[in-house]
Amino acid sequence: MSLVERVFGRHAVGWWFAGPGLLMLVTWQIAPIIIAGFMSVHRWKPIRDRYLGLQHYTDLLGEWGPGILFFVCLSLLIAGVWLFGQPAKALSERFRRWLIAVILMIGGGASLWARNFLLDAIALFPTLTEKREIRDFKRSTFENWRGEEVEQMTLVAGSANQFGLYAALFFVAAALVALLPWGRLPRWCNRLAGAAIVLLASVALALAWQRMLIAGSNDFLASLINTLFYSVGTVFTQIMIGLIIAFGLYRRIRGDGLFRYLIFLPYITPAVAMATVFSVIFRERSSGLMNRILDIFGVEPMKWLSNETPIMQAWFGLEWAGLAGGPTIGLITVIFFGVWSYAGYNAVILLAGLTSIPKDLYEAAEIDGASRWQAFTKITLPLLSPVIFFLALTGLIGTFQAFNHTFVMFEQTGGRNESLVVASIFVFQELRSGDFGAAASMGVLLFFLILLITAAQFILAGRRLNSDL
Amino acid sequence: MSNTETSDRFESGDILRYAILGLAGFLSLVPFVYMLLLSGMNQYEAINASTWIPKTFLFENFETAWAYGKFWLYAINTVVVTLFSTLGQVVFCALAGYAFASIPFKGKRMAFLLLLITLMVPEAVLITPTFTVIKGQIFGIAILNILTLTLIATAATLLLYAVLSVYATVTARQIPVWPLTFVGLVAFVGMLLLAGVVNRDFGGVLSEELWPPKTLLNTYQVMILPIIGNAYSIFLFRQFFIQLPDELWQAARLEGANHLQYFVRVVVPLSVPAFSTIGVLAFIWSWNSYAWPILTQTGADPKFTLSVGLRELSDDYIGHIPAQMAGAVIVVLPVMVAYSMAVRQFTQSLARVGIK
Repeated sequence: MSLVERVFGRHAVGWWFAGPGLLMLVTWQIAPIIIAGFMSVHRWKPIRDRYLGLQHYTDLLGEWGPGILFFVCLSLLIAGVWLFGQPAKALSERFRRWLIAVILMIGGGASLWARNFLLDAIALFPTLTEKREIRDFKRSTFENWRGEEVEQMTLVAGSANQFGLYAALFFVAAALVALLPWGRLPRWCNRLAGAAIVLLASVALALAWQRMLIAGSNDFLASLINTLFYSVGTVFTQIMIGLIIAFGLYRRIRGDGLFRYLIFLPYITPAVAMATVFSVIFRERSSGLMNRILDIFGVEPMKWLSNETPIMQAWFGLEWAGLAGGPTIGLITVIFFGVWSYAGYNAVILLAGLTSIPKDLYEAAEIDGASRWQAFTKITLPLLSPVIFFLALTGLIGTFQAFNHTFVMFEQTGGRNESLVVASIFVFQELRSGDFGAAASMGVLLFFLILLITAAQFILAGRRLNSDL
Repeated sequence: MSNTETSDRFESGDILRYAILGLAGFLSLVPFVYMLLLSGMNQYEAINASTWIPKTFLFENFETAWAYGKFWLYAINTVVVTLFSTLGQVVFCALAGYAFASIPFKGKRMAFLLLLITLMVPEAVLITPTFTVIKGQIFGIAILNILTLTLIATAATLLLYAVLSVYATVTARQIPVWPLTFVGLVAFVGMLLLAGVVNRDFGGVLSEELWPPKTLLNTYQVMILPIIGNAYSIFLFRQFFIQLPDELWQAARLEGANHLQYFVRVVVPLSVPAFSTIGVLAFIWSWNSYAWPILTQTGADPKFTLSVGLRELSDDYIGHIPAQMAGAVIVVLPVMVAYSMAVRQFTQSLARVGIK
């Protein structure tokens, strides 16, 4: 027994070692979350003022109903997808039955709720002109509506009323049926319940989102959408490209050390400097590098970073706004930068995953007459899935907090291209404008969103995960 | 890496491989080359893109960037912040990683869960409360100053201990390591306290505004403290240390070594790749930090880092692309040097973490 153990007891050694590091984590990364919660229920501009309750949150999300419904529906969506993929034997019979029943019940409640929201939204329609922020929304959505269309809307309202009621009844009935003492429920019960839940949760999600747009903070919700586009676009693309590069590096060829050096280089260079370079490359003058390259191919020069055209409009001429319109060209330019700087990192980690797959598996597949594509889909992808999961998880968390390069590029447009404002930039601006309470509440909401996304990834793909992580 | 057989035989797939790698390497390199080319051009060439390569490489742009504001001062600030945060992060995260890898203790699972949760916390959540804390609105600045002092003292103790015990091993002499460390620590803390109490006697070295600070705005420690504790680094270190065979520890224990001795004399020498990897990573993270310095270094006498300096430069020279690019080169170059020194270990050890 060493001296430390003798004085402080057997478990003290570990704490002495882990203590300083954990202390720093707790003081600078755990405690601030609690402080953020405390700050978000106060008026704090920029010093502590009176207690406000949850007003910051209702300012952001509109009302309580849609906000809660939003999070509930997201969870339901995850549960539905999970249930859909569950094999019949995976869970104990009784647990599964109750689970299906409970989820169905929640689905019934949600559809009733969604029906009410739809009715409310329609009842709200004539009075929409009263609130200033609503006017923009109205202009985009209800602009061309005339009297007969309002009548149609009433008809829609009537059918929505009935549909919601029937859906709720169906759900309750299904829940009761699921609870009856049948024999073993077959797998299609899982599938059916899962699919129904996914469908209804999506509809309710869309409705809740519309309601949040009407009454909540449009800018914040728009920044969430931008974050979503940025995260999904970057993570998906960089894993795909990383996979291709990893294939290139898989066999040791002459000069692969140099290639490895070059490909990994973007990951380690300071994002602030390189984002400045990128905004010069993608500048809107015809003398920018990207526009000169386009010129070689005979394409007209484009505005890149400062371009606020959604992709659906730029490519297909569809004038959709918000989520349906897709990311703007400016945001896609930012995604280019994200992919450029992280693809190499993804490639190196995927390469390690590739090399850890035993070679004799491929030889056996070859003997059995499998094609290369079959070998890829049946051997490589399943065995690589823990690595891909790790990259997707860390990538999503990382892109959700992406700040440096997005902020640089946003400032390079003179702060005018609002479609580049991702959530972290929005929080930063709110903080600099002096409204600490609002900034804290946005942070807390973001934290819950990330928790939900992480939980979803673990539930949907986590069972393949190496337990060592 | 298991695919070590470098074969000279040319396979049919190799053309495709070279094509992929060539394209990827080229695309990775283009922005750097473009940056270098632009940094040597004059205004006319850069804006009108009359040439690809500057006629004469103008070093004036670098002089403009370097002389702008106080770029040399920004460089010193960046070096101070980077040095101390990297050092602190490597020391404390290595210790914590070792504890999670090889010491059984009560509450380990819970602490590890805490660590995993910390991995998920976005900076946007932290930035508001942390900023409020360092402005002294949640609790007094004194607590943060005490925290800083404790950390410095701990780091000093560990470094002293490590140096002394390595010295004892190398010279094969019996040295009372712990008592000497203790004496050194007391002397060190005494010196700090002395500096805090009678700071005027130290002239300008430790002036009143430096220690003890009344506010943490515009100080070095505000940029250093928040990035010392890093869950990712702890996690990486754990992944490395967990691969060391347990027999080593058993043998060391039979010799009468405790965990700290084992750590300093066996684990650290065996884990040089881990330390250099995480050192470089910490270096890069600290060098790249942006939002936090912008926020905390304001008003009179800010201690801008190079990244923030580049932002100011881009703001003031908004049309002067060559000067901006020269500034970018100044920011990028040290990181590229650091990376080039550790590149081999770097990619390999990062790869190891992904699959574990």
